[in-house]
Amino acid sequence: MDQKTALEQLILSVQKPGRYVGGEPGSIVKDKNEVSLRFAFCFPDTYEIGMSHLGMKILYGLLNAQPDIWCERVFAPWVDMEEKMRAQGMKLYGLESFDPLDEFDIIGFTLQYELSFTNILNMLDLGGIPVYSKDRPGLKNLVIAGGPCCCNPEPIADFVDLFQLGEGEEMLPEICRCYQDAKERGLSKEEFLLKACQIGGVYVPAFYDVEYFPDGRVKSITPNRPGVPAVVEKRIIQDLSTAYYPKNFVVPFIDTVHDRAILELMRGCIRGCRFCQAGFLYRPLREKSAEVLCRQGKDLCQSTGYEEISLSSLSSSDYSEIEPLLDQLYDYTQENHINLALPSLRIDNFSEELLDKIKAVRRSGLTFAPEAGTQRLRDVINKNITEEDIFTSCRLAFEGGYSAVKLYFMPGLPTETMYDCEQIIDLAQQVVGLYHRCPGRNKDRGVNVTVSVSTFVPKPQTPFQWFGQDTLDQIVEKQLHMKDCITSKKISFKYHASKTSVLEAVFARGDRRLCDVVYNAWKKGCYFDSWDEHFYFDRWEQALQEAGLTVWFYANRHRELDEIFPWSHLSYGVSEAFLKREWEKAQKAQTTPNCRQQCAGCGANRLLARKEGKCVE
Amino acid sequence: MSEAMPMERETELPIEQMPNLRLFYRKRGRAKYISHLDITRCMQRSLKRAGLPVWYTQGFNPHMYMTFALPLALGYESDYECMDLRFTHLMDFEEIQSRLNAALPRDIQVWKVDFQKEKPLAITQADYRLTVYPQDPERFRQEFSAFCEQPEILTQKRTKKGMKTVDLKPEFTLLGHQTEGERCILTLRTTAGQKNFNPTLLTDAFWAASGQTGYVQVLRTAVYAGEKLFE
Repeated sequence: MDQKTALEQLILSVQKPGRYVGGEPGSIVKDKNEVSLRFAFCFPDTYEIGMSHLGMKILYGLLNAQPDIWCERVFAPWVDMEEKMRAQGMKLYGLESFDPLDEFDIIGFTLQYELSFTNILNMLDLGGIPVYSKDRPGLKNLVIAGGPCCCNPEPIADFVDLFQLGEGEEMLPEICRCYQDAKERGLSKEEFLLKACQIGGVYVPAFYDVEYFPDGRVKSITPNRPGVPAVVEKRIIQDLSTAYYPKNFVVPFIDTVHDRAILELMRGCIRGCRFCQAGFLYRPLREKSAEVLCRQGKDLCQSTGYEEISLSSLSSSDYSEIEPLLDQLYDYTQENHINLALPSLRIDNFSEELLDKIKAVRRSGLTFAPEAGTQRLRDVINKNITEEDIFTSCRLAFEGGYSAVKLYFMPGLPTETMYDCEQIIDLAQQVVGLYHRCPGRNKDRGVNVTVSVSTFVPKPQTPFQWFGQDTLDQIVEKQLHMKDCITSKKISFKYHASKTSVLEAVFARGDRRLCDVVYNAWKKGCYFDSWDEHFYFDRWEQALQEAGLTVWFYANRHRELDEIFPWSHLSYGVSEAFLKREWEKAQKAQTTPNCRQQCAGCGANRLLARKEGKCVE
Repeated sequence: MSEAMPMERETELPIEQMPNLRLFYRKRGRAKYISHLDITRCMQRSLKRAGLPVWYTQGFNPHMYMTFALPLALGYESDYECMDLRFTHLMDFEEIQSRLNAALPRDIQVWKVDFQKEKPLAITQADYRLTVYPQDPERFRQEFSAFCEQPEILTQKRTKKGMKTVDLKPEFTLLGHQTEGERCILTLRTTAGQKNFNPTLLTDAFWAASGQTGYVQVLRTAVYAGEKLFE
């Protein structure tokens, strides 16, 4: 049997073969002899999750628009496929060419969540590439990574050669050009990295030495080569309206998590919710013009044939041209049988007009995120919504025919007491009561209020980076107490496995000493950690213990204001002074107005070349 | 790429009098990994990309009106797939074919567009070509053809009510068998339509009876309504 038939037999013997075969409309096949750089864009999770990710679509299109670069996609094979691949000695391959990963020049990972770190090791290993950076002496198989977790990539610093901080549309092509030049001139990996670290946003972890105090806190982080920047600052795109955006997406055959056209309304968020890492990482706010969005939406629908467009941003109702945009898109989508999905709406500016527009296209339930049960705690996190806002929005939804709402909360926030947790359930109960008092409610159906809670994880580059997470016992106690407080059958309570939140907290603020822990846990069989059925907390605890490290040190310990963080040499534009100010205000339950009301002086405006550093009009 | 597809265009005939069209297509190569459900979605998107005036049902949840004659199992290839649909106005068949083929994945290509002649209920038989990779091709060929000569071929089949013993003999005719290097090529005519026959049921029965093993590739080559090709 030839190679092709053998592969076919293997693929047909696993679940969802469509994950492993490529060939989708929009996928790009080039002649490998006609390109000078082969790039493997790796998403460290399954096909269905990776194919839903907008960043990959943008960078795939952007790199393949260069005639001399061929970018392919690689996903983590599910365990059944991996087992068969390992048994047959078959290497992980690019979906476009079926060539093994170790034939690629650059292997680029996107770091979307901390619990995908072990999948990076597993994918490299399955692709025939040594996982430790030091074991890859050559320029070939350069391993790079981008995405939000680069704001503290220290737990995987030993495995990755180069991290990209911030947005990739300009930085990634610059890195590729630098690589092509190095390849042509026969430079060593070290010589290339020395050049690459001069590109804005590029962080080469091997060029920094980290010293620790005896108790494990970081003492200093210093460059160990001349010319290496002491602080790496993230890159941003100045103008979203003129930035590259793909005119076509790869359209999957199999069902993925989000299988639709996506329009990116803006980057950044005016709100400044103190728990929200994305809200700080993507500053300053930059909006794309409604006209450009409309054109991009039509282009995408025509080239993909998608039956749904989703408007994507951190807070869609804050997009300044939201109503004109919806008006313009509405006619086009109606005429062409296309649904318009509008996630991420805020509760306080959820107008009747907006509801009418969404209702015309969407009939499923509505989700609101009050985050905390009391006004005091909502002020601590700077959510800036009132109980009245919540009731007004729910009333509008009920009057509009909705009978199910989902309320999203985050227990474990700084200064939280048991009373705050009880009030979460009380709030849900009041929403149930509100439904029955609504004259315009749908009388054929009973109300359902879903309370969904997920434990707060303190993240770097936010005002809560100094805060110690609740211990596992505290988390469980709060969850059980909330469950006990529910007396109505109309309230359903959903909560998330607490141990994954603990491990997430360890990684989020971890240091380089965790690299060996990641390696050892992976060796013990930990990967796909974000999948409950594959999460083995005991193995992680064991790996930590073997390294002489504790969960408490990383997750539960409160940091002093003068502590040097493992990510202190990485800047996302928001100043440490601002974050400290916000942390202090939080502890006094003082709010900060949103960026449109009044500039809070976070410092991210420095990254803007235009408008004399003004983020919003 | 064409402009937005005008759905409200006037039709020459009232929609209930518009004839059903039948598209004949191949599903080869990588397309064999696409399940029937996923093919439906793939076709819808390809029709949209091609900007063809497909008729949508007018219910609470309008969707493209589209039916498939004889769903193909995941992993099988076919040269004879049929899909029926309706347009809001008639178009040149060759233009439909060329526009749709440009929008379809490389491994799914339409080879004929015509009016629907028979209802899918008229389907009675189908032809398959099986490429078998046995341990010993010549031994397989001889033993397999002898296996098919038996007066009855009893095997276990999984049904909704559990395992059931069925006789495969009346369901197929072995039209040909020959070895080609390491492979053995079988051609089969089977019952199809109201009573469907999965050709690997036969090879599986043979593996179970003979103790041999092998990998089997399936290609559907034709679909019949009685003595004639299904059109």
